[in-house]
Amino acid sequence: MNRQNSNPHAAPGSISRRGFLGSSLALAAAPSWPWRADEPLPSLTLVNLVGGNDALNTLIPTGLSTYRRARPTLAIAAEAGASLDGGAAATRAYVLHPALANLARRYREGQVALVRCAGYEGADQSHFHARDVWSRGYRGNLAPHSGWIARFKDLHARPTTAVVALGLAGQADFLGGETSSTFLLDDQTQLAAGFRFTGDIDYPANNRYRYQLAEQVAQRQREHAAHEHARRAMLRSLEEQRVLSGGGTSLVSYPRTVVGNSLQTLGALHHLGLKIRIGYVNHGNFDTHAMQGGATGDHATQLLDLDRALEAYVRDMEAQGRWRTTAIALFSEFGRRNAETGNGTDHGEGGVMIVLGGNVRGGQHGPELTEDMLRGNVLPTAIDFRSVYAAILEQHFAVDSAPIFTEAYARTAMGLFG
Amino acid sequence: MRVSLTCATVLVTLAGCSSGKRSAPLTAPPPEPEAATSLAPQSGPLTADQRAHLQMRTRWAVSPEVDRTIANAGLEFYVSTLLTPGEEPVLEAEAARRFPYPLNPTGAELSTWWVHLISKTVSPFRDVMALLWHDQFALSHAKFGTTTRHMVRTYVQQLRRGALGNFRELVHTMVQDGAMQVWLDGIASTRTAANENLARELFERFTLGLGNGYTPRDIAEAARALTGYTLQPFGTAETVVFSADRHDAGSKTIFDKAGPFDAASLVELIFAERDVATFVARRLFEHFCYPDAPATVVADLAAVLREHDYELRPTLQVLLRSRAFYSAKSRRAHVKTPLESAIGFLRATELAFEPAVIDLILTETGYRPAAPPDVGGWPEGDAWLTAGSLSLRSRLLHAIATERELHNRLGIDILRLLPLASERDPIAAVHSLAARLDLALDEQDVATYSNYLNTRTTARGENVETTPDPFRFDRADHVSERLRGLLFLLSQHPTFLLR
Repeated sequence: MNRQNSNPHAAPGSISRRGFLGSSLALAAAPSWPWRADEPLPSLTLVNLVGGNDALNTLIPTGLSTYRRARPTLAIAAEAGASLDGGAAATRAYVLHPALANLARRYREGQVALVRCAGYEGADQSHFHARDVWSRGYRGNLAPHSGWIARFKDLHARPTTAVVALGLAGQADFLGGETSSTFLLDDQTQLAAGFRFTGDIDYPANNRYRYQLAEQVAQRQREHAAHEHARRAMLRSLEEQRVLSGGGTSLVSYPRTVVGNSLQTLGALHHLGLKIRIGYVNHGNFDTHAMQGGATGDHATQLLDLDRALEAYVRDMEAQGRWRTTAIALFSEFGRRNAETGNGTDHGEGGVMIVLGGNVRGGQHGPELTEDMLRGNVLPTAIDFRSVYAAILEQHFAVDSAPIFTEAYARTAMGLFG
Repeated sequence: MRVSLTCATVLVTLAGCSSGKRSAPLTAPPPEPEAATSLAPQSGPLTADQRAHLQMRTRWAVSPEVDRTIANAGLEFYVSTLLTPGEEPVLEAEAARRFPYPLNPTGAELSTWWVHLISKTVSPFRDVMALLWHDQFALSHAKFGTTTRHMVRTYVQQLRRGALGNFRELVHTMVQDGAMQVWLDGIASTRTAANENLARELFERFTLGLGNGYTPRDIAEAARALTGYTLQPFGTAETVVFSADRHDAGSKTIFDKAGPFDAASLVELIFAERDVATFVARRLFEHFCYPDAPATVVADLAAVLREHDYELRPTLQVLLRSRAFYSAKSRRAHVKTPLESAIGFLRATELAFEPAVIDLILTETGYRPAAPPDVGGWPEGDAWLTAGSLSLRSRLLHAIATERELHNRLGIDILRLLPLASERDPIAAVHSLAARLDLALDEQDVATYSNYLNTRTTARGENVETTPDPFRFDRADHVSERLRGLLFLLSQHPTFLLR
């Protein structure tokens, strides 16, 4: 058997599960391992644009007059946007927000896939409900209570440090599984402060002895089972302090922004050799009810921070020899209303997902935006977001998506890689 | 984002049950034990363990003096002192000195100011409640600019002032609060373009809960009722005022009732037409007792709240004296937030630490007062049991335990934690300090910790060499190295994570 086609991370039992779910998944390609044996393991970096990113001012339909009429203050002129007119998927029907210049260049180089009208059926414009659905990968109110990343982790990335999140905003994605993820809460000063623990400098030997004893105490099984979760957490914390105490170094320089620091930390942890399969970064507050702006303003500033930090991260992955096996997915809980409310927009439905990576097949997915669509209140949610994640799971990680997204959904087939 | 995580979920998760197993239970859950669901008063005097529980829920630390007060003066007396905290003008003036430009404070000044009040108050329960409401009416100074940020101070003062008052009044205050108007875009909402942000959160977060008894149309109409607030210059800053010409005075239809509602009459309408009491009662019960409260006991507490017209004092009187509160199910049922962990440790050890540094590390751990991550407040439960957060907590607790210079300067002698001659023995000292931190130790733990006191450590390259060396309470170096070390070591006991 060709070693390149055997997936070392296939979950036991996944084949029978596929058989059971049967024909509804006929679209799912049989996962085959797409990477050379000498390449780093594939990894996914998720960037959560917290609060509901305005899809219409991110991927701007240049030819639609309804867009400009609905947004007298916020509309961005076609010539001001970042051009997508280059490469195999060249288009003049859309431009990216002017702040996304690096991303647009990578699109023209064929490394960016854009997915219009992403979301889920039955969106109700509530932050909490939308985040719950995106986190669990499940629309129903009942099981599973676990996040989709937790289910992925249980099957394919069991070590605690194989899934690393910066910040807490997307935490429901990680909870409810059998294994735990690493959370780094210190977006701002992670690298400055590092995990280097100086401890009691007056008594260094006693300081070390304390940590040994603390671990000993936490290792001991307790009679009182009700405290078992705390015991495991304390033990994990003490153990991981040792792993992470190596700190981190970066091969490239990053912008000194919150999202820049977060991505730099993640890059440094990759460099440390933690074998991270999923890294998760929160960015911004995209809940732009007011002060949103068009080509300049709050939304533009947040996109500019994002674009610069992402470009640094891509260069870091290139420098580490990881870019080909890296995928980055940008998502947000919903898009915003088609029409502006003063200098802002209320919660909407369909959003835009963006996937980039060294092995991503550039292009556009989802329905073309039309005048009719923009005359409505919100963009439709024509592409279930799980279609995008399923494509990443199958084509990038070469694992079956069925055990992770168990609820039936209208899946759109898309070739995002290769 | 709030995740409705519960300790029960955490236990099941870590015990390795798959979510699939939980989703399809084969048998009905066993009936709740009676005590855990009863609001009847706890009868008879409290046990030492129950008194510790009461302290952990109301001040995050155990003090021997407070324990004596509860034991001698009785539960009723203690609860009534909790519910009537005195004014603290001296402390407030001291904390206010953190604002060199009161009209234009920085975010760090605001958070540190509140941490200062929380860490030095003699009535911790006021802030226990203020922080609960802060989580419910969450806003963060991160969104504010130099000219509007001062309103966050007023917002915190309103929370602290109203923490034990009437819940309906608190909702009125919050909806019309300047900082809240800025935070939820009330000031961007006008007669011609009503912004739905505040209206949505008023239903979803403040009074009813997600999707509970309101429609998108109710939100849109309520948004019209809430229009009219705008910014106005105020010295070197700005303030929020009501301006009639921005307000939509027309008729709105909310909950099928038509009328020219405004902010005040909208709040009254919600309380009249919808079940706010259950939403608030669940919040109170789960905060003080245990997560995933059964509907019956929540309904009982909601009835108390309604009977007292949403007055919080009589409701808390009932709750803090109830059998449910003292039931085994409530004991250590919560994971401490980083703030509860840090302030609880400081209070239990009676040590001092600079509020600005506490604030700095709280920022790193993700729990900074007056700066929650978003409108959903903070996460709960095992989100706080993650490695990054715990290692940062460790750093803070270690810093507090070994802040020798500051403690010497302030004349704080760590031996004052062990005033009795009978406590001046390694095993007795472990028991005494563990009781302040409310730890559940077994015999092996006690042996490990007392052996630690009786051990000398020397560095040998990368290794640590240990030699038996009986602890002496009259040796300043033993106390400085090992008794402080013990305080830190105790804070790394698994049960310190719980309250």
